[in-house]
Amino acid sequence: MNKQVYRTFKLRFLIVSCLLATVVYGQEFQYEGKYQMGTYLGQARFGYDLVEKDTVLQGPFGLQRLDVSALLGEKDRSFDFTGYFTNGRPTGSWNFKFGEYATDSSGKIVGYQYHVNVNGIQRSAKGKMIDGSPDGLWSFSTKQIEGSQIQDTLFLSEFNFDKGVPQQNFVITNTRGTLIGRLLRNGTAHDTWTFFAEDDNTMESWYFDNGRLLKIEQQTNTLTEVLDIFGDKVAKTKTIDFDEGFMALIALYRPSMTSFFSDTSFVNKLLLENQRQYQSINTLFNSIGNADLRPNFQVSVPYFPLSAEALLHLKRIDTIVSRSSKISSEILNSTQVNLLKRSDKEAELLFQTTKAISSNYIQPLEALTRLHQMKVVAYLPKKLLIKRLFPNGKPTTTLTIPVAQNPGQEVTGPGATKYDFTPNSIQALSDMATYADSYLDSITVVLNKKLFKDQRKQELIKLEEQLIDQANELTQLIDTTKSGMRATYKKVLRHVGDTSDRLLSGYAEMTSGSEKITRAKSLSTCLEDLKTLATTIVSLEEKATTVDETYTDAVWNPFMANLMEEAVKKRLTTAYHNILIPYFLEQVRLRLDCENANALALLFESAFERMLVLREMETSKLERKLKREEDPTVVLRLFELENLKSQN
Amino acid sequence: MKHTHKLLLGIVLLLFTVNFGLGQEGEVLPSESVFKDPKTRVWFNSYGNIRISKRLFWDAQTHFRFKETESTPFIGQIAQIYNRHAIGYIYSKKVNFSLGGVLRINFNTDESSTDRNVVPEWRIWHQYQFAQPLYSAMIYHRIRIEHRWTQGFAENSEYIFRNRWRYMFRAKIPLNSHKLKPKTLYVSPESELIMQSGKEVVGSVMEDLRLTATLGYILTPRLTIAAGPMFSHGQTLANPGEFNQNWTLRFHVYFSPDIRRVKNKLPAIHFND
Repeated sequence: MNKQVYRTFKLRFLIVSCLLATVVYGQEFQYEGKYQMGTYLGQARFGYDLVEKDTVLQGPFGLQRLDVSALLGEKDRSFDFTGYFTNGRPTGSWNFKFGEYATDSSGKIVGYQYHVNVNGIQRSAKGKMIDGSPDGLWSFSTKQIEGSQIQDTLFLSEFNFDKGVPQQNFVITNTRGTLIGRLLRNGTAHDTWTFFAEDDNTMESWYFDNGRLLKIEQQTNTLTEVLDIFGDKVAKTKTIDFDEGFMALIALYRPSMTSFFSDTSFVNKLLLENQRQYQSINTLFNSIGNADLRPNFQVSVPYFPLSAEALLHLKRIDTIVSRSSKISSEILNSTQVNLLKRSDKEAELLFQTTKAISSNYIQPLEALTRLHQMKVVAYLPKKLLIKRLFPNGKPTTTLTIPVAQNPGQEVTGPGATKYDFTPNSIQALSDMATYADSYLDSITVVLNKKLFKDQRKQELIKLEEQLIDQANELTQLIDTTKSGMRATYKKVLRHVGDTSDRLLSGYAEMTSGSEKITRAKSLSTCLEDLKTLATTIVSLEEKATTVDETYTDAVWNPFMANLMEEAVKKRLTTAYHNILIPYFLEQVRLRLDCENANALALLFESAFERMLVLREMETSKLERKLKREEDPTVVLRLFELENLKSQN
Repeated sequence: MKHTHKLLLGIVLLLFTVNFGLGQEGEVLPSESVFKDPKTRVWFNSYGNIRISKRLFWDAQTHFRFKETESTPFIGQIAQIYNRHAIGYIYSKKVNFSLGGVLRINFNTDESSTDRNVVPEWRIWHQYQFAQPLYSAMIYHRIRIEHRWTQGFAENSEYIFRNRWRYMFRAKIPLNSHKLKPKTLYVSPESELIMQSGKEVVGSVMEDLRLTATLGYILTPRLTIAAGPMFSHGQTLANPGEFNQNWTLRFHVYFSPDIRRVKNKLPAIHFND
């Protein structure tokens, strides 16, 4: 390799390397302007890289919105987010402020600035992130502002994180009281979490032992409730997130807790509110980057591992139930079915069966799919799960349907004997889903058939009404234009009317059947065509006048010294008036039927249009050929209309 | 219209300033005017108006004029064959002018005469026509000026030169229609005064006064036929005290072909656009 070649190679290598570097590492850009983060639209300023056409946030980030005129008007929803991104992940200090302010219109001038007092709510969140996870202290607060001063703290939560894992003690406060809890280094709940009410009379304590919830105790005034949650006999345990799934699990073990959680428990309320606060910021982060900001404390629960087969069945149940649920609600909410069941006893039975399928099979299975989505199915013994899903006992394949105050009619779906729902297994539930689904399908088929029949009847009635309307319109058209019209035109018009009458009588004689609806449809089209034809014939006199007027020139007569109308291209007009139109009328009289009505109308229209076109064209040759020509087919050919003729 | 009025005024002044002399040399004026017996005549007139361009037309008229003779009363024998040609200029739909020449062949209708049977007569003529619509009718003013060279039937007779000053007023009133258009029958009253001047004209300035009623029919915009009687009388050239009188039955054919190519015809009517 000589020196020259080597140098060229080196240069090329350098250029290619630079290009590659740009592609791999992206380019840095700065953006300043309108930007949306989640549902927050404001003025933004940030840096970003383009990596494979993706925008990756990089460096300081700021998004603000402040509308003074809105503040002075009614209310301003302002916000101010600042922080830092590294490769699209939030890193370093972050500060979120959300304000909902109104002004009381009192203010003063300080220096060269207006100071205006505001009232409202300020929500804030601040803390440190490391590679998209919380690290260090995170605090969330909601404050009530009156006259630009903090009036009340509505909510406050403070957690310490170590690379995303919550540590040590935490505090969550609202206007009712304060929850203090303890967490182990790995984030598991430990020891007693206690809620102290402001009024000192109430205390709620949750007792944990290394993540395992032992009991919940609530002291309202003098009443103390002690609830043992999972019991003692637990073979296996598993550590899971302390989230809504866990709460649901508690409620499944202790059904009485459902109302406790929703109505009474202070701890639950504070934890839920805390979770919402974390979620709202996490959603914002994830709308433009990647982050995992959540309280993330862990609890340990009983574990009943699911077999691979059971997991597959659960997945199947999800799919089938979502489909069945849709079908059943379609049937139950269909106005057509609701109308039909009033007059059709079988439809009524099917409707009620659908209702029973929905409540007996689908709704419990939907509850199961919800548990599956919360990933708690494996933390319940099967027997308990089934007991909870079917509090009134597991249904069989036979349903008892109450019809017209009778005690009930027993019905079964397709393949009822194949299924057995008695085992306490996921497979039995999967079978139930399949059975419910095929049952609904069979109902749909029958109902559709019934609806279709009903629809067809309705359609035919509508069609016949339309036919009568159309026939009346045609008769009216013919009757109103009869006076003052040329006898030949009248005669042909009458023939069109007679044709319509004849066709309608033919239809009326048909026995009802599926052909009748087809015939009604085609007859409707036919009557429309006949009307078009009649309209065309009615317009013939007007058309003749138009043709004559079109084929007129104003000529200066030197002897009279005035302008006179002179008919021009008389051979064309003569052929039109004396040969074509009479020929077309004759065709209508001799050959009119549904198939050619439209074509015949088209023939009149086309000849007329052709006349208008020929007026402007050089026609001396055509005029010569038309001399003494009396054969309409030849004239049609000369007028270049024979294609239309052969079509009809 | 202004032009029309000026021209009319000029003609009227001219008529009044013509020298009303006392009579032809050698002729003695009678003590009162002598009106000769009316003669009858039959005229077959064709009027062609052939459009040759947007503004020009060829005015082509051929008349066959018969005059009664003793052996053939009423229709008589051919007296004149009359060829009048001109190039016309269409100023507007209502106004046009013409300039051209006339060759008239005069036949000697005097059966006793031994003079020449046929002599030519030459004219240069120009004409100014004005039309006005009046309700459903049209009225027309026509001024025609002719410079005329005539000679008698006698052997070696000299040409004499005269000017003719003619004004005609005519109306055309449609009878079966609200305007003059094809398939319309119309009636046309008409009067024309023909004055003359020249060295040879001594006293006989009123050559002819023609009063006509014509019934016409417009066949097409390009073809019209008409016929009607005409009474005319005027001073004889020889003696201003003597008046000729004539009853003439006239038949007219008016035709106006357009020999332009089709594309040049358009627009046929917009002269001033």
